[in-house]
Amino acid sequence: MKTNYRKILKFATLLVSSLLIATVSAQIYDYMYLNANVGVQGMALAWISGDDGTAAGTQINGVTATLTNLKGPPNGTRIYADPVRLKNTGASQVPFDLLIDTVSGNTNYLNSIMVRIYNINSSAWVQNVTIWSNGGKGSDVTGLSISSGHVWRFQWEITWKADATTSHSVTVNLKIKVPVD
Amino acid sequence: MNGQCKIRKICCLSLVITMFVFSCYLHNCVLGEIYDFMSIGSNIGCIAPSVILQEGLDGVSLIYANCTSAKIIIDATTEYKTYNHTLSIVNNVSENYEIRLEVFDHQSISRLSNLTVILHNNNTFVTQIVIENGVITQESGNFYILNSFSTTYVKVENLKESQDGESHLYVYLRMKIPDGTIYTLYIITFELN
Repeated sequence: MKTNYRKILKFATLLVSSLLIATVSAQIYDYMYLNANVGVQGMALAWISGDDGTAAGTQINGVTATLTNLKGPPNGTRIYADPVRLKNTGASQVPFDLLIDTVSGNTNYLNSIMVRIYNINSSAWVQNVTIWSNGGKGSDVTGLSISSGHVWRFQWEITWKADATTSHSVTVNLKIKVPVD
Repeated sequence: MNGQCKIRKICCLSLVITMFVFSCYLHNCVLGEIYDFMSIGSNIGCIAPSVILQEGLDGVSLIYANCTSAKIIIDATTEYKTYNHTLSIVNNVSENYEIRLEVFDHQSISRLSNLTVILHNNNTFVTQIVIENGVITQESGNFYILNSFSTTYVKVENLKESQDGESHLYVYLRMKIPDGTIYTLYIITFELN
Protein backbone atom coordinates (compact mmCIF):
# COMPACT_ATOMS: atom_id res chain seq x y z
CA MET A 1 0.00 0.00 0.00
CA LYS A 2 1.40 3.29 -1.08
CA THR A 3 1.22 6.14 1.36
CA ASN A 4 -0.28 9.26 -0.18
CA TYR A 5 1.54 12.02 1.62
CA ARG A 6 -0.20 14.64 -0.40
CA LYS A 7 -3.60 13.52 0.75
CA ILE A 8 -2.44 13.28 4.34
CA LEU A 9 -1.05 16.78 4.16
CA LYS A 10 -4.27 18.08 2.69
CA PHE A 11 -6.27 16.29 5.34
CA ALA A 12 -4.07 17.60 8.15
CA THR A 13 -4.32 21.13 6.81
CA LEU A 14 -8.07 20.80 6.67
CA LEU A 15 -8.16 19.47 10.22
CA VAL A 16 -6.04 22.28 11.60
CA SER A 17 -8.12 24.83 9.72
CA SER A 18 -11.32 23.31 11.16
CA LEU A 19 -9.92 23.42 14.65
CA LEU A 20 -8.85 27.00 14.20
CA ILE A 21 -12.24 27.97 12.87
CA ALA A 22 -14.02 26.14 15.71
CA THR A 23 -11.85 27.80 18.34
CA VAL A 24 -12.20 31.22 16.86
CA SER A 25 -15.95 30.77 16.32
CA ALA A 26 -16.42 30.26 20.03
CA GLN A 27 -15.05 33.72 20.59
CA ILE A 28 -17.09 35.56 18.08
CA TYR A 29 -19.31 38.23 19.48
CA ASP A 30 -21.73 40.69 18.11
CA TYR A 31 -21.40 44.20 19.37
CA MET A 32 -23.92 46.98 19.56
CA TYR A 33 -23.09 50.49 20.66
CA LEU A 34 -24.96 52.94 22.84
CA ASN A 35 -23.19 56.25 23.09
CA ALA A 36 -24.51 58.81 25.54
CA ASN A 37 -23.20 62.18 26.49
CA VAL A 38 -24.25 62.61 30.11
CA GLY A 39 -24.20 66.20 31.26
CA VAL A 40 -25.08 67.80 34.54
CA GLN A 41 -28.36 69.66 34.36
CA GLY A 42 -29.41 71.81 37.28
CA MET A 43 -32.91 71.22 38.59
CA ALA A 44 -35.26 74.12 38.92
CA LEU A 45 -36.52 72.89 42.31
CA ALA A 46 -34.31 73.07 45.36
CA TRP A 47 -34.69 72.24 49.05
CA ILE A 48 -33.82 74.97 51.51
CA SER A 49 -33.85 74.88 55.28
CA GLY A 50 -36.74 76.63 57.04
CA ASP A 51 -36.99 78.62 60.26
CA ASP A 52 -37.30 75.38 62.26
CA GLY A 53 -34.50 73.70 60.30
CA THR A 54 -32.06 73.68 63.21
CA ALA A 55 -34.52 72.16 65.68
CA ALA A 56 -35.73 69.66 63.08
CA GLY A 57 -32.17 68.66 62.19
CA THR A 58 -32.64 69.55 58.54
CA GLN A 59 -29.76 68.45 56.31
CA ILE A 60 -29.73 69.15 52.59
CA ASN A 61 -27.49 67.31 50.19
CA GLY A 62 -28.30 68.10 46.58
CA VAL A 63 -31.75 66.82 45.76
CA THR A 64 -32.11 65.07 49.10
CA ALA A 65 -33.36 66.68 52.29
CA THR A 66 -33.25 64.80 55.57
CA LEU A 67 -35.03 65.80 58.76
CA THR A 68 -33.06 64.00 61.43
CA ASN A 69 -34.63 65.33 64.59
CA LEU A 70 -38.43 65.36 64.40
CA LYS A 71 -39.95 64.30 67.70
CA GLY A 72 -43.31 64.31 69.44
CA PRO A 73 -44.82 63.31 72.78
CA PRO A 74 -47.24 60.41 73.15
CA ASN A 75 -50.92 61.30 72.80
CA GLY A 76 -50.09 64.86 71.81
CA THR A 77 -49.49 66.52 68.45
CA ARG A 78 -46.14 68.12 67.66
CA ILE A 79 -46.15 70.69 64.86
CA TYR A 80 -42.98 71.76 63.06
CA ALA A 81 -44.28 74.70 61.07
CA ASP A 82 -41.21 75.34 58.94
CA PRO A 83 -38.53 72.62 58.96
CA VAL A 84 -37.88 72.58 55.21
CA ARG A 85 -38.89 74.53 52.12
CA LEU A 86 -39.10 73.82 48.40
CA LYS A 87 -38.07 76.63 46.09
CA ASN A 88 -38.56 76.99 42.35
CA THR A 89 -35.35 78.65 41.23
CA GLY A 90 -36.25 78.42 37.55
CA ALA A 91 -37.87 80.89 35.20
CA SER A 92 -41.05 78.94 34.65
CA GLN A 93 -43.68 77.04 36.56
CA VAL A 94 -42.75 73.48 37.56
CA PRO A 95 -45.36 70.73 37.84
CA PHE A 96 -44.63 67.81 40.16
CA ASP A 97 -46.12 64.91 42.09
CA LEU A 98 -45.49 64.20 45.76
CA LEU A 99 -45.12 60.47 46.35
CA ILE A 100 -45.20 58.71 49.71
CA ASP A 101 -42.42 56.21 49.19
CA THR A 102 -42.10 54.40 52.54
CA VAL A 103 -43.27 54.69 56.13
CA SER A 104 -41.46 52.14 58.29
CA GLY A 105 -40.51 51.42 61.89
CA ASN A 106 -42.83 51.34 64.92
CA THR A 107 -45.90 52.35 62.94
CA ASN A 108 -48.17 50.38 65.36
CA TYR A 109 -47.62 53.18 67.85
CA LEU A 110 -48.10 55.95 65.36
CA ASN A 111 -51.44 57.73 65.22
CA SER A 112 -50.87 60.09 62.32
CA ILE A 113 -48.39 62.15 60.33
CA MET A 114 -49.70 65.02 58.27
CA VAL A 115 -47.73 67.37 56.02
CA ARG A 116 -49.41 70.66 55.25
CA ILE A 117 -47.95 72.71 52.43
CA TYR A 118 -48.14 76.51 52.43
CA ASN A 119 -47.01 79.04 49.86
CA ILE A 120 -44.74 81.51 51.65
CA ASN A 121 -45.03 84.11 48.84
CA SER A 122 -48.80 84.31 49.02
CA SER A 123 -49.27 83.03 52.60
CA ALA A 124 -51.81 80.63 51.15
CA TRP A 125 -52.51 77.02 52.03
CA VAL A 126 -51.62 74.73 49.14
CA GLN A 127 -52.26 71.11 50.05
CA ASN A 128 -52.61 68.65 52.93
CA VAL A 129 -50.78 65.35 52.53
CA THR A 130 -51.72 62.52 54.88
CA ILE A 131 -48.55 60.49 55.29
CA TRP A 132 -49.97 58.06 57.87
CA SER A 133 -53.47 57.69 59.30
CA ASN A 134 -55.77 54.92 60.53
CA GLY A 135 -52.96 52.37 60.50
CA GLY A 136 -51.95 52.89 56.89
CA LYS A 137 -50.00 54.97 54.44
CA GLY A 138 -51.75 57.90 52.83
CA SER A 139 -52.16 58.58 49.14
CA ASP A 140 -49.76 60.24 46.74
CA VAL A 141 -50.61 63.77 45.66
CA THR A 142 -50.37 64.47 41.96
CA GLY A 143 -50.78 67.58 39.87
CA LEU A 144 -49.01 70.08 42.12
CA SER A 145 -47.38 73.06 40.44
CA ILE A 146 -45.08 75.70 41.89
CA SER A 147 -44.64 79.08 40.21
CA SER A 148 -41.29 80.56 39.29
CA GLY A 149 -39.54 82.11 42.27
CA HIS A 150 -42.07 80.79 44.76
CA VAL A 151 -41.18 79.05 48.01
CA TRP A 152 -43.36 76.46 49.73
CA ARG A 153 -42.95 75.42 53.32
CA PHE A 154 -43.70 71.87 54.42
CA GLN A 155 -45.33 71.80 57.87
CA TRP A 156 -45.02 68.45 59.65
CA GLU A 157 -47.59 67.37 62.24
CA ILE A 158 -46.83 64.23 64.25
CA THR A 159 -49.19 62.44 66.63
CA TRP A 160 -48.05 59.34 68.53
CA LYS A 161 -50.54 57.02 70.23
CA ALA A 162 -50.95 57.13 74.02
CA ASP A 163 -48.98 53.90 74.52
CA ALA A 164 -45.94 55.05 72.54
CA THR A 165 -42.67 55.31 74.43
CA THR A 166 -39.30 56.93 73.88
CA SER A 167 -38.01 53.70 72.33
CA HIS A 168 -40.34 54.05 69.36
CA SER A 169 -39.54 55.74 66.07
CA VAL A 170 -40.54 55.70 62.43
CA THR A 171 -38.83 56.62 59.19
CA VAL A 172 -40.63 58.40 56.39
CA ASN A 173 -39.41 58.80 52.82
CA LEU A 174 -41.16 61.05 50.34
CA LYS A 175 -40.30 61.67 46.70
CA ILE A 176 -40.86 64.62 44.46
CA LYS A 177 -41.40 63.49 40.87
CA VAL A 178 -40.73 66.19 38.30
CA PRO A 179 -41.39 65.55 34.60
CA VAL A 180 -38.52 66.57 32.34
CA ASP A 181 -39.42 68.83 29.43
CA MET B 1 -49.48 48.28 -15.51
CA ASN B 2 -51.39 51.34 -14.43
CA GLY B 3 -53.14 49.34 -11.67
CA GLN B 4 -49.84 48.03 -10.34
CA CYS B 5 -48.49 51.55 -10.16
CA LYS B 6 -51.52 52.73 -8.17
CA ILE B 7 -51.23 49.83 -5.72
CA ARG B 8 -47.56 50.61 -5.26
CA LYS B 9 -48.34 54.29 -4.59
CA ILE B 10 -51.03 53.34 -2.06
CA CYS B 11 -48.65 50.99 -0.32
CA CYS B 12 -45.97 53.65 -0.12
CA LEU B 13 -48.40 56.21 1.23
CA SER B 14 -49.72 53.78 3.84
CA LEU B 15 -46.19 53.00 4.92
CA VAL B 16 -45.33 56.69 5.27
CA ILE B 17 -48.50 57.39 7.31
CA THR B 18 -47.85 54.37 9.55
CA MET B 19 -44.28 55.45 10.15
CA PHE B 20 -45.41 58.99 10.94
CA VAL B 21 -48.06 57.86 13.45
CA PHE B 22 -45.66 55.40 15.02
CA SER B 23 -42.93 58.01 15.37
CA CYS B 24 -45.40 60.46 16.99
CA TYR B 25 -46.54 57.79 19.44
CA LEU B 26 -42.99 56.77 20.23
CA HIS B 27 -42.00 60.40 20.72
CA ASN B 28 -44.74 61.05 23.25
CA CYS B 29 -44.30 57.74 24.93
CA VAL B 30 -40.59 58.05 25.47
CA LEU B 31 -40.51 61.72 26.46
CA GLY B 32 -43.46 61.28 28.86
CA GLU B 33 -41.51 58.81 30.94
CA ILE B 34 -38.53 60.93 31.82
CA TYR B 35 -38.59 62.36 35.34
CA ASP B 36 -36.27 63.93 37.83
CA PHE B 37 -36.66 62.81 41.43
CA MET B 38 -35.99 64.64 44.65
CA SER B 39 -36.47 63.09 48.04
CA ILE B 40 -37.14 64.03 51.62
CA GLY B 41 -36.57 61.64 54.48
CA SER B 42 -37.33 62.04 58.15
CA ASN B 43 -36.60 60.12 61.30
CA ILE B 44 -39.39 60.70 63.78
CA GLY B 45 -39.00 59.74 67.41
CA CYS B 46 -41.25 59.68 70.45
CA ILE B 47 -40.12 61.82 73.40
CA ALA B 48 -41.16 62.15 77.02
CA PRO B 49 -43.46 65.18 77.38
CA SER B 50 -41.78 68.33 78.72
CA VAL B 51 -45.08 69.74 79.97
CA ILE B 52 -47.59 67.49 81.70
CA LEU B 53 -51.16 67.81 82.96
CA GLN B 54 -51.97 67.03 86.58
CA GLU B 55 -55.14 66.90 88.58
CA GLY B 56 -56.11 70.28 90.01
CA LEU B 57 -56.92 71.04 93.66
CA ASP B 58 -60.64 71.14 92.91
CA GLY B 59 -60.69 67.39 92.19
CA VAL B 60 -62.69 67.74 89.00
CA SER B 61 -60.15 66.54 86.45
CA LEU B 62 -59.35 63.20 84.91
CA ILE B 63 -55.83 62.74 83.55
CA TYR B 64 -55.17 60.27 80.73
CA ALA B 65 -52.09 58.20 79.86
CA ASN B 66 -48.76 60.02 79.73
CA CYS B 67 -50.42 63.11 81.24
CA THR B 68 -50.86 64.70 77.82
CA SER B 69 -54.65 64.85 77.70
CA ALA B 70 -57.35 65.43 80.29
CA LYS B 71 -61.04 65.84 80.95
CA ILE B 72 -62.47 68.41 83.33
CA ILE B 73 -65.92 67.45 84.64
CA ILE B 74 -67.80 70.27 86.34
CA ASP B 75 -71.29 70.69 87.72
CA ALA B 76 -73.10 73.68 86.29
CA THR B 77 -76.15 75.17 87.97
CA THR B 78 -78.40 78.17 87.56
CA GLU B 79 -76.16 79.92 90.10
CA TYR B 80 -72.72 81.31 89.26
CA LYS B 81 -69.97 78.91 90.28
CA THR B 82 -66.18 79.33 90.14
CA TYR B 83 -63.45 76.66 90.26
CA ASN B 84 -59.97 78.11 90.76
CA HIS B 85 -57.84 75.04 90.17
CA THR B 86 -59.57 72.58 87.85
CA LEU B 87 -56.32 71.43 86.22
CA SER B 88 -52.59 71.95 86.70
CA ILE B 89 -50.17 72.45 83.81
CA VAL B 90 -46.63 71.63 84.90
CA ASN B 91 -43.45 72.57 83.04
CA ASN B 92 -40.75 70.01 83.87
CA VAL B 93 -37.91 71.48 81.82
CA SER B 94 -35.64 74.53 81.89
CA GLU B 95 -37.22 76.16 78.81
CA ASN B 96 -40.08 78.63 79.04
CA TYR B 97 -43.20 77.91 77.02
CA GLU B 98 -45.93 80.14 75.68
CA ILE B 99 -49.25 78.43 76.22
CA ARG B 100 -52.86 79.16 75.39
CA LEU B 101 -56.20 77.41 75.08
CA GLU B 102 -58.13 77.17 71.79
CA VAL B 103 -61.63 75.82 71.27
CA PHE B 104 -61.68 73.46 68.27
CA ASP B 105 -65.12 71.88 68.77
CA HIS B 106 -68.16 72.02 71.06
CA GLN B 107 -71.54 70.42 71.75
CA SER B 108 -74.73 71.80 73.30
CA ILE B 109 -73.30 75.06 74.57
CA SER B 110 -76.43 77.09 73.88
CA ARG B 111 -77.74 76.21 77.36
CA LEU B 112 -74.73 77.88 79.03
CA SER B 113 -75.48 81.39 80.20
CA ASN B 114 -71.94 82.18 81.20
CA LEU B 115 -68.46 80.66 81.33
CA THR B 116 -64.95 82.11 81.47
CA VAL B 117 -61.80 79.96 81.32
CA ILE B 118 -58.61 81.55 82.63
CA LEU B 119 -54.94 80.51 82.87
CA HIS B 120 -53.24 81.76 86.03
CA ASN B 121 -50.56 81.20 88.64
CA ASN B 122 -52.49 82.96 91.42
CA ASN B 123 -50.79 86.24 90.45
CA THR B 124 -51.09 86.59 86.69
CA PHE B 125 -54.45 85.90 85.04
CA VAL B 126 -55.01 85.59 81.27
CA THR B 127 -58.54 85.03 79.97
CA GLN B 128 -58.70 82.32 77.30
CA ILE B 129 -62.30 81.31 76.54
CA VAL B 130 -65.57 83.16 77.08
CA ILE B 131 -69.16 81.97 76.57
CA GLU B 132 -72.01 84.47 76.97
CA ASN B 133 -75.69 83.64 76.53
CA GLY B 134 -74.96 80.35 74.80
CA VAL B 135 -72.45 81.79 72.33
CA ILE B 136 -68.66 81.57 72.30
CA THR B 137 -67.47 85.17 72.26
CA GLN B 138 -63.79 84.33 72.72
CA GLU B 139 -62.33 81.10 71.30
CA SER B 140 -58.72 81.58 72.44
CA GLY B 141 -56.62 83.98 74.41
CA ASN B 142 -53.23 85.63 74.42
CA PHE B 143 -50.22 83.47 75.10
CA TYR B 144 -49.42 82.97 78.74
CA ILE B 145 -45.76 82.46 79.73
CA LEU B 146 -45.25 79.16 81.50
CA ASN B 147 -41.84 79.62 83.06
CA SER B 148 -39.30 76.83 83.45
CA PHE B 149 -40.11 74.35 86.22
CA SER B 150 -43.34 76.15 87.08
CA THR B 151 -47.04 75.33 87.29
CA THR B 152 -50.05 77.16 86.02
CA TYR B 153 -53.70 76.45 86.63
CA VAL B 154 -56.93 76.37 84.68
CA LYS B 155 -59.69 78.41 86.32
CA VAL B 156 -63.37 78.15 85.39
CA GLU B 157 -65.12 81.35 86.44
CA ASN B 158 -68.78 82.27 86.69
CA LEU B 159 -70.12 79.07 85.21
CA LYS B 160 -73.90 79.22 84.90
CA GLU B 161 -76.44 77.20 82.94
CA SER B 162 -79.89 78.27 81.80
CA GLN B 163 -81.32 74.76 81.62
CA ASP B 164 -80.41 71.17 82.54
CA GLY B 165 -78.24 69.17 80.19
CA GLU B 166 -74.65 68.34 79.32
CA SER B 167 -72.28 70.49 77.31
CA HIS B 168 -68.83 69.76 75.94
CA LEU B 169 -66.00 72.05 74.99
CA TYR B 170 -63.08 70.49 73.12
CA VAL B 171 -59.97 72.56 73.59
CA TYR B 172 -56.35 72.45 72.48
CA LEU B 173 -53.67 73.43 74.92
CA ARG B 174 -51.16 74.95 72.48
CA MET B 175 -47.56 75.22 73.68
CA LYS B 176 -44.57 76.75 71.93
CA ILE B 177 -41.09 77.79 72.76
CA PRO B 178 -41.01 81.63 72.61
CA ASP B 179 -40.19 83.05 69.17
CA GLY B 180 -40.29 79.61 67.59
CA THR B 181 -42.75 78.00 65.23
CA ILE B 182 -42.75 74.56 66.79
CA TYR B 183 -45.92 73.75 68.67
CA THR B 184 -47.29 70.94 70.76
CA LEU B 185 -51.02 70.37 71.16
CA TYR B 186 -52.75 68.52 74.01
CA ILE B 187 -56.49 67.93 74.06
CA ILE B 188 -58.49 69.05 77.10
CA THR B 189 -62.21 68.27 77.23
CA PHE B 190 -64.56 70.32 79.42
CA GLU B 191 -67.68 68.36 80.37
CA LEU B 192 -70.24 70.69 81.92
CA ASN B 193 -73.34 69.02 83.33
